[in-house]
Amino acid sequence: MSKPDAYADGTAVERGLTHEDTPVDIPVIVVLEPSVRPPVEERMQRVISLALLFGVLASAALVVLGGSLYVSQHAMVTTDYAAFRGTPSAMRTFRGVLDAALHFSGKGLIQLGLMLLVGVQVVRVFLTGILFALERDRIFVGITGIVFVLLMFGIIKGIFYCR
Amino acid sequence: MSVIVFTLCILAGSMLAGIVGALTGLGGGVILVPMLVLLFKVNVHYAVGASLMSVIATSSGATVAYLREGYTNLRVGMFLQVAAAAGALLGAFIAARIQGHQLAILFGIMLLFSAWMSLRRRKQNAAAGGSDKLAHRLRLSGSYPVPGGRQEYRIYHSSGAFGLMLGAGTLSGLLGIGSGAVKVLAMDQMMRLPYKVSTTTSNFMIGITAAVSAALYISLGYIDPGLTMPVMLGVLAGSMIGARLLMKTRADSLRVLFSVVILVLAIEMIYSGLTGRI
Repeated sequence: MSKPDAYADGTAVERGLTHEDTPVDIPVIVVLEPSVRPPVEERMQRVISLALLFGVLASAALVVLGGSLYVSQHAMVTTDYAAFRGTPSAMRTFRGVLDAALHFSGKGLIQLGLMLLVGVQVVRVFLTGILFALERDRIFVGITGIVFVLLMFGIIKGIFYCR
Repeated sequence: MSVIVFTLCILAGSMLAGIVGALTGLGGGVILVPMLVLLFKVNVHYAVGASLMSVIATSSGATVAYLREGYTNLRVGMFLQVAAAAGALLGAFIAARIQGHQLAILFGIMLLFSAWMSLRRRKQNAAAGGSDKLAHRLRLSGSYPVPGGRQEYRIYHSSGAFGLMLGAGTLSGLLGIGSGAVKVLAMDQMMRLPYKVSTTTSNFMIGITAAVSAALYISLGYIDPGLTMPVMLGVLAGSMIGARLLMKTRADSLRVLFSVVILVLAIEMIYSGLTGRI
């Protein structure tokens, strides 16, 4: 490995190491003075992490609650998952699921928890968009917007899906 | 089987799948779907749906763990997510029109690829081409924490990775897997991201991609609460255990063993699909 070339502004450019340790002629820039990520990004990432954590825990709680209810109510019923009949339509729409959940149906609560899990991802994308907006990165607010639209398309198309 | 026995068995099996998935880095879905289909005789559509949900859960959990460490490149993640989400819609669209046994065959082919990818040596890439104009315009490059500061890195072949993400998203939507391996491949090999950056960013993306197709799956009736409940909880618990175990064991020898297991599962899936046993 050759000696690092020093430039007038103090940064050192080393020749040689890519992340695969193959000697290739690509300069790798090492920032010498300790630098910090923009505080906005750090704070938003914390918000996103917390939102995710809360969402996953809430979802898991609903699933566990629903699961216990379901198993205790139907413990001895025989299951048959070999044939595909499609879950009943009440379990396919948000309306139906919420209704079932409010009536303490085990399956309804589970399905609600699963829908919440999907909803958490929407929130995640939204918050990331906010992060980019706070950093004034218009291009990425736009890109995040496209992802958001795609995600909502899946959800809305799902709600109105007719076979 | 009665509900209670079935639930407990699925719970145990899913935990195992989660542990294996975390240890091998292949994700729970790869082992889970064949296990459900071949062992528990669950219909492929239900199995794929349940797997997809568990993928969202584990990915979100992993993101919570890694996001704040500062390795995740949100820009690369969101940029690639456009392709992945579009692919996920396509995958779910195809899944709605395909029959169970055809899906099983496709799944088996994917497993063959996974086994092959796990076993081959990592290619030493030739020198990268010039800097990536698209990456430069979008300011995709970033930095990650090293002792004493942050190490910057450059990005290459972003358009190629974008295309690869379309495929990854389609696989995810179609087969109920996270496609983490493909995502890491695109970011690690093509875009030349440092390894920890690609794995954490891939983790960030997986949940969102899966959610796109999961939404469609729910309305298609592929998500059965009775089945998905033990699967999701089992895989979640298993991957947490597996992540702990990963610190303590040597992953290399495991990788070869599980490639063989995957190979066997692949053949079984394809065979069952072809003979219409599923």
